[in-house]
Amino acid sequence: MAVNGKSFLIDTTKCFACRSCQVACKQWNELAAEDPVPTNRGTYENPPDLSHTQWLLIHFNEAERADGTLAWNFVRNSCRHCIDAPCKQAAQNTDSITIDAETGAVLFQEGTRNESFKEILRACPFDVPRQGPDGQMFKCVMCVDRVHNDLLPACATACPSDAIEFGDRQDMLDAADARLEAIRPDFPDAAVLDRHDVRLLILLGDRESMHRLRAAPAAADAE
Amino acid sequence: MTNHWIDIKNSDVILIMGSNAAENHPISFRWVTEARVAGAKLISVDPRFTRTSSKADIYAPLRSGTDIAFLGGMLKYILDNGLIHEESVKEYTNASFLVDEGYEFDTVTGLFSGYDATTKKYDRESATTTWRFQTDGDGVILRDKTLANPRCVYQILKAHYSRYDLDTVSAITGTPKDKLQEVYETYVGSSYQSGKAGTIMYAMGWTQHTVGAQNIRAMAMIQLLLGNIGVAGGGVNALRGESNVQGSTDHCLLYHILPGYLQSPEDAYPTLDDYITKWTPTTNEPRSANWWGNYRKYMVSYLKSMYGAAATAANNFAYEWLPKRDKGVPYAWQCMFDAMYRQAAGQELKGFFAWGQNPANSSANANKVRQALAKLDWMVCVNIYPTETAEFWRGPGMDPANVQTEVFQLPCAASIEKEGSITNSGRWAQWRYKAIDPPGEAKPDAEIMNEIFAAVKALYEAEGTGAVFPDPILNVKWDYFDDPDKISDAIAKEINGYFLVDSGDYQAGDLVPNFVSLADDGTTSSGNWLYCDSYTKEEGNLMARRTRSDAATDVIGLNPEWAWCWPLNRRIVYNRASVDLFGQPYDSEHPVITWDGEGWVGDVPDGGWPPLKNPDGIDNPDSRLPYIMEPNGVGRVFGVNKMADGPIPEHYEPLESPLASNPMGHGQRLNPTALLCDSDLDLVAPPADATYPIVCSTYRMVEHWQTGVMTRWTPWLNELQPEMFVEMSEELAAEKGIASGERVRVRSIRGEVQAVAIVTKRFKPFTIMGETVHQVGVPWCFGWYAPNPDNTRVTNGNLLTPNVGDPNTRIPESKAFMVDVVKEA
Amino acid sequence: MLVTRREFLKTSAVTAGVAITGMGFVLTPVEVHAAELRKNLQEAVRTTTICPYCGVGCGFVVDSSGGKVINIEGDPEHPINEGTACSKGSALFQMAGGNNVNRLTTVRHRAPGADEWTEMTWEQAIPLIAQRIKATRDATFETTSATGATVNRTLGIGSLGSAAMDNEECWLYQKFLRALGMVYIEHQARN
Repeated sequence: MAVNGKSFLIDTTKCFACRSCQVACKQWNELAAEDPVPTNRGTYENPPDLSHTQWLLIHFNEAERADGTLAWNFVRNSCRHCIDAPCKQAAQNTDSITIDAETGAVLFQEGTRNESFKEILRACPFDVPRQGPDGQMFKCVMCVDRVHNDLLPACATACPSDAIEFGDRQDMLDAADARLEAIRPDFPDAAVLDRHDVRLLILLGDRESMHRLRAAPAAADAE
Repeated sequence: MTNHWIDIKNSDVILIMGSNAAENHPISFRWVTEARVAGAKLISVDPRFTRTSSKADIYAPLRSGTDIAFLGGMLKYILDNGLIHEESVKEYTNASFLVDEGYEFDTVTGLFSGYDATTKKYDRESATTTWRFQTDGDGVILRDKTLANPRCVYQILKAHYSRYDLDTVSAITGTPKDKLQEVYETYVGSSYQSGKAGTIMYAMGWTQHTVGAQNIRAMAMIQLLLGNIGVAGGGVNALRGESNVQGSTDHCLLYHILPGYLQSPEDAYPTLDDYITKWTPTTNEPRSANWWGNYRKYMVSYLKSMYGAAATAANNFAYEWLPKRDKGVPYAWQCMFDAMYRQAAGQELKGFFAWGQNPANSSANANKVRQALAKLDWMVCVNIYPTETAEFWRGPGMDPANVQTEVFQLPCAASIEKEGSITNSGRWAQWRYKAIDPPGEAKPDAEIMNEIFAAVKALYEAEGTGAVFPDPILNVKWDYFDDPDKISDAIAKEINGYFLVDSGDYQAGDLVPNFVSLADDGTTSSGNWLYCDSYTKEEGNLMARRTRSDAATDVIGLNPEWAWCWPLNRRIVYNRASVDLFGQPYDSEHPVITWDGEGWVGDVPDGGWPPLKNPDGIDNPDSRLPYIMEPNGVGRVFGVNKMADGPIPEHYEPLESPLASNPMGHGQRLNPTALLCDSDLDLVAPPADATYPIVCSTYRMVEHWQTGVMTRWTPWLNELQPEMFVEMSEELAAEKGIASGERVRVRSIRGEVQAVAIVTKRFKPFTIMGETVHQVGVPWCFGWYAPNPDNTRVTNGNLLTPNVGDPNTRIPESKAFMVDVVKEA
Repeated sequence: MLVTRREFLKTSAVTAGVAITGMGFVLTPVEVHAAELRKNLQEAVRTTTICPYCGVGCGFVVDSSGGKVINIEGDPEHPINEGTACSKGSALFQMAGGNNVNRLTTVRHRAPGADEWTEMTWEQAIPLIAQRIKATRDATFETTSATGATVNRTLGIGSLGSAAMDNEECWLYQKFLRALGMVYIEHQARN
């Protein structure tokens, strides 16, 4: 049976890293900026990592293609909203991490402060959960409050080039397939990551090794 | 922009050069992306691989300051291969005009005819200037529509740009030859035919050079030759960097122009008649609209809006009250600060307004500006945030005890705390509304002006007879503040203009419907003729309109009922060049205007005259040529005498460059007419100086805005780009032993900045004339005061830039100068 | 009536006729500051605006309540940005009065040689500024130039400003400066 609910389609071939999504997320969800202000670590990428107030982050990566041209690739990192969320399975209490029935969003509740952060983090294949000062865990909430009111998530609303699309899961899968087909002449290695397992469908133009999908230590822009 | 943002979607090929649209005009990329999805090619030409380049089909690097060489090569490619839009070029440009026999470009000296080495100026106005066309006995310009005559513009261009072959261009620009070829083939090949359109998106990357205006001329020539003007998806599009820099320019907060691009008066034209005679162009071309022939109507209506009832025919509409500048003397930005810094006897500049500006960071050679501010008696700063300008007296290197400048810092309202209009880059004037009151004691700018002006006026009134020339202060029309909720409306109506006497269906006091109604006898007023039609009796405030078009009927996205656009709500200017001689669009899929046999449908045409030819092929004498603001009615491929530095562009090196001579092989290294300053702080590194061997450019970024005043206080933006950096190639970093993330200093002969090194593949060393030349780049949005004041920190990119200017625009050369980079000890 | 975030959402909905579904889960993370927000809200008022940053001219909708801005996002009806924004536009919320502690809220004066600001009222500052303008204008005013031509000007005062102002303010400002006889009139167009 097909999986229902919602999904994001992140089309990295349209993203130009304005990072409106990072700010729109903070505005809607009322998340504070990093304090103290981070430093520049030899890269445009900042803040340096996901945090309890940084629920999505654009990773930058430079890589040369086989034909000698340069790729500067930008990929969104945030909760993938897994279809069968390992974090939920790792939680001791079923109320700590819930799945929104309508959208499929994976939601960290207040009860996460009673869970083992080590276990929840270890369960996440994508190194996404982060812990706040009082132990509660945080990550992208799919702006479910907006979605339940027929609005797009803040990031998808803001994205200037429609690199973030959001909608019914099957529509997003279909859009991904259509886009893969359209860009195949320019991007023969194009692919959608983990399409069967996650609700954050990331479409890459170049091969995966030419992107960075996770936060990395300083001065890591270059491949 | 001749076109507008949404129109980019109609392009078949988009050249982004001299700008970084993805970062500095991000929503333009919504439309660039739409064009790309529809199959358009995107070309990015930039010294550095940017976020714009990351989405481009072709990226071509070039050394800063070599755009004319790059575009000269494109002109050669077009002319050698005859890839022009033939009808458009022959009928709608001056390509067929015969140039004066005395005109020449000397390939040995590198000078155009008419140069005076003493004044460092060309003769372009005298009766014997060679920068003009040949005419017959009746003064009608001679032309050869076969384009074969060796003195016709087309052949002169062909000869001039024959020198810009791929080897020469590549040696100057550092662009690999195959990339040059690929860009030329793609841009020209995708846009010269009917039905195809190419657009250029440029910004300060083209203007901030000693050849800035000629950079743009080169591209305008290309667009004219390819038939890319007036059409959907074409045009020459300056991406303006500030929300209302279009409007503030339209309203001419500039020394050389009055609202609506009327010339500001000069001492050489002491009376209104002298002035009108000087600036009203004439034409011998029977089918030229020569719209500037209306000059007197616009000037007199402006004077009526300035001085109201006090401006009468008897006093030349108070023309004498307008301040006059000395003819030929620039009073531009860098000249102002030069005067402020020098304080020469008899030319003291002691008072200064920094109104919504931060020149301590935004000026080229910013340190000179900071030193100049210390020589003022007083300064008034108006802003929404603290700035490095208002705080200069305790900035880096300053001892407050020694700074005698009195500073007033006035808090003003932000955009959402007041009501009024702003004009975007596409000339759309859009109304915005007040959401909340300004915080604390802050007030809208207009109210601050009103309070200061009222206090000044009261002082002059009190002084009575004997006051120093009080007439303009006492008589200026100033009646916009009676209804505190309608201040902007009152001024917007003044800008649109009024009938001052009954006229036809209108009564005295009615708003004029458009600038066709303006009169030259004082019976109408208009603060800015270009904005006539923006606020009318019939339709009210057109700038506040909010009706989007239906995409099914408005295929090219003109959105004529959204807000209002100058002139006359015309969304694409020069649109009569988008149709053939019979009024039928060259691109039937994307028509801008179409003659339906009785009238024009589509956009507001550049004049309602019928097409140039009747259906039977006979010329229609009632028609007018498409370039209605040009005296000859056609586009100027040949600039004639409009430019200070030549009728057509030639490559000259930047003031500071890695080359000791002009690689075009002639004797003129630098633009011979460049505007230079020579104070003790205007230091210039000599050509090919080993102390400063690295080319540097400044730039902006999406996360910050201009000097950062409106973004460095914003925590959500600061965390994205928290501090000053310098970008450099891996090769240069290896030579210098610098690792990414390390702290370095960037030095020019004028100053130095502290920065974090970003070592990147996105800069590559250039091979210039056989030698390796490195380039680095720095932003100019950072400063010592925000967000954490620290006057030991020198981080503003403009501490490095030179105070030299383009001779036409007086814009400084911030985009190409020489530096060195050293590791922080 | 206090407008809650939930009710505010209702007014934000792009499409009409959407039922607010019962939310079957707790929204703790998104209610970090909700209590404070609710306390301050009286009634959300929606106005439209144009972004004050670059020259694209994107539309935004501003929702304010009790004199405070509670949300700003792209105007979905605006034909250029169609509801989208760049990072700067998305951060507009932090520029609004009351939302940014760094906004200037008082008139400040720095006396010659002083190493700090002192606060002033408008009533104190405006007459002082007017006196400074008049003194400099009068001392530097030229009725004729070196060539003997009538010029009626002062080169003793300069101005930069401003593309940050509305059209109406720009026009009024040029009127103000030219009435004083100023020639050094410049703004961002050249730098």
